[in-house]
Amino acid sequence: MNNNMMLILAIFIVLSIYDVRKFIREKESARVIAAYAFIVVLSLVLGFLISIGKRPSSPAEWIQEILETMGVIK
Amino acid sequence: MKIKIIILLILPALLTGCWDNVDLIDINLVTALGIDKSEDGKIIVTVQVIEPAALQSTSSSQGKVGMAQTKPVFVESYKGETISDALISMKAMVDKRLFLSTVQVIILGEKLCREGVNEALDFLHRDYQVEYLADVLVARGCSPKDILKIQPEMDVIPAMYIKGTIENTELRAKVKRTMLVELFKDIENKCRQITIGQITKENEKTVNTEGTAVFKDGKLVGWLNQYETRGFLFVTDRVKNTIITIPMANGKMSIRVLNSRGKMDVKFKNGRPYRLSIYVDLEGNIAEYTGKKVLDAPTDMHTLQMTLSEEVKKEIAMALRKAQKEYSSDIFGFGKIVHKYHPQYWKQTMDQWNDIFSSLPTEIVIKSRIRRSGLIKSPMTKDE
Amino acid sequence: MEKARISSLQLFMLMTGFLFGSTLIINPIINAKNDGWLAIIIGGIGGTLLLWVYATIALLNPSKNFVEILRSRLGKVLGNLLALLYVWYFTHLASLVFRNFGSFITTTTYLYTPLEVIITIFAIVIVYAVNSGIEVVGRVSELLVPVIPVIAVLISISLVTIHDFTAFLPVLENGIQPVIKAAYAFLTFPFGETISFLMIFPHLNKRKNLRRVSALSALSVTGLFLFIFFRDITALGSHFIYQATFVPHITSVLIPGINLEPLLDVNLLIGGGIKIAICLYAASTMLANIIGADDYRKFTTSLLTFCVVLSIWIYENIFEMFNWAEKVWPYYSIPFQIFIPLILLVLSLIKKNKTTLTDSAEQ
Repeated sequence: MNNNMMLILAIFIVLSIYDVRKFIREKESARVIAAYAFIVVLSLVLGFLISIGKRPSSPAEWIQEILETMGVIK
Repeated sequence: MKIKIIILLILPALLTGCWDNVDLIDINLVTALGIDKSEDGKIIVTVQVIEPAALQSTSSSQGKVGMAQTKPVFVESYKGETISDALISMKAMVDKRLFLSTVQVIILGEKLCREGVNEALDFLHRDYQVEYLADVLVARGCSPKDILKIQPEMDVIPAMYIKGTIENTELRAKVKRTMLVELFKDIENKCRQITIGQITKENEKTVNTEGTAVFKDGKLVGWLNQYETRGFLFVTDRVKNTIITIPMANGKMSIRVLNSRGKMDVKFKNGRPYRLSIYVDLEGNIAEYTGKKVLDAPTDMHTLQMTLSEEVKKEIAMALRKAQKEYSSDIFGFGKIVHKYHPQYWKQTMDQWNDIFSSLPTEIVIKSRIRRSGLIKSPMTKDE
Repeated sequence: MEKARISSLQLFMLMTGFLFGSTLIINPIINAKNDGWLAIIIGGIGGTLLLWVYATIALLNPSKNFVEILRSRLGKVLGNLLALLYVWYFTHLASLVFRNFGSFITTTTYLYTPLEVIITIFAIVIVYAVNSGIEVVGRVSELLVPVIPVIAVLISISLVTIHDFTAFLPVLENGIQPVIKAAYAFLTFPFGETISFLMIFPHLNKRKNLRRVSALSALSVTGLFLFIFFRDITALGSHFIYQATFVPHITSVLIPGINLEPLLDVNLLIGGGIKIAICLYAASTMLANIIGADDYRKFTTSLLTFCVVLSIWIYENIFEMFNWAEKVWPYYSIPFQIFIPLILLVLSLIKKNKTTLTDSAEQ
């Protein structure tokens, strides 16, 4: 359990709540809200997974593997 | 808006703050570190810690009677698997956090050096606290703990006293001053073998820093005495000031060297080295003369300069002979010149360089000038 | 679309700060050892050419930003798709800079402060700057970037006594191959990363200066790195440089009597801050353009949250970070930094030849 990570996620949740309030007030289009929600939820879920110690394999590893299978790097 | 301002006021405070603030009274300031190996292959770490409060009381209560005189420093040592392990485990005996950034002197034990100094250097290089400009010494004939336990009269902090004796090498040039960073540069580097100054214990109050420890591939192989050390320092252009005594008819003369420039070169013929050349230019004044002959003719000065050159040459030759024949270790750094200017040759012979270095003939060219004679022109006792 | 305007000087400062960025601490040229200076020169010249290409793309497509260029040259679907890939690329880049920065601070200065905390505090300051607009970032860089060379020179002067001026010899000890490799890595990091400036070029007030400003900043950064390289190698020697985790840190620690190491953190904060701010700005503007939102500020916070999480997620340890920066990054960047821009350049040139008349009328 990584408390620091939780703390940071809490800070970012607070920041996003400000944004969401603005979106509701200005009656933002659905596409914007969908994109916004996608990014924030994705990062919060990832952050949560990292903080409870279940870190999924990272994009760095995916990219490295893809490049390795393509034979670009050894 | 108000919230924004409050957040803005908080943010700068966050940016400056440290997570782990430790007050000065909660740390032990380590001034000297001793590292040695025990018989069973473990590391013994010795720390010398100063007590700022006690320091103050010793300086202010001098002469007063009846005051409790607490010692300004304490020395503690611990045996551990590695240096960091020993330093952490030592807290079983030491009350506060050990703060290493104030380390002035690092003393390595002879046994550790004989078995290889690399393992000690790894920690000193890796740890973020250790000051790269700390002086390193090798204790000869005693353990680092014995050295750190001395109670000098000249300075209340033994580490500062030892550092002082090392720093004044620029006045006498009889011990090689080695800073930690120089070891990092040369360790595992085949161009130049490392050398570290030597320290011995005179008695309970004083130490003696004279001579140099010679290493080969990170292992201690032998020592240079004070005169060989000076020869070595002349070659590597580290002599600032020193006194050289030359024999004269009916007495001796001491020359104060004020300026010296050393240069090295490796001569190549047909793609192979055939000679090591050393050039030293030095300049000096007459400091003392116990002879009887009046020296006023220009030819006298000429012969004097020749004798001085011979004397310096002898010291250099002694150091060279020891490095070449006895220890077979290129402490001077001739390998660096080969590496820089003959990279192809270096690549092939890098691993046997010490043997090649030992087998090469040498050439020493000394040019000395004596400028002034001090406040008197003629000797105190004259020839009739 | 935001109607911000930045001057040529501000663009120059932004670019210089961006290029300096985190390259100070993770420099790919270390792999060329003694011949790093050669790698810097080759990479620097290549980088200048690359920046020239980017500026030419911007000039051939006046008053269009990167998303609009992609769309008009490659069609709507492919253009949007590539633009989305670039959003990922810039977010990724920003998180890498965050991570480099955090690793440096936790290794050298704040050993016990958690990485996450350092990154987050830095991130909040940056999101504030980006939300204030590119003009503000430009003005801040105008003020702060001149500090970078001053600090570099200050550290060098303090070290002048322990220099070995022939330390860079021998030349080409291990052949030309490692030099070319390092030069290429130096080209992709940092020069190729300026592709993100295609989102900022439309804001320049005097468009005819664009190519000159880009080339000038690339050359001056090359000069600065050359200077720093010679300082490090003469003070430390090639062997030591190769061994050290963060080279300039060790160089600054060597100065006798005074600790100038915090100045290095200052340099890093300025360069890294500008780099992250521009990446974040580019990513959020592109995303807003793709989705059709009117203001990029709607996405800054969310993208930043993702950046911070990504920066912690991306590597498990510092060895992965160095391995990635050296081995994977140069190849991963090829399509983004070289391949797609070159296609855009060719397509733009064809278009220009077809419509020379309208183009000259516009100018």
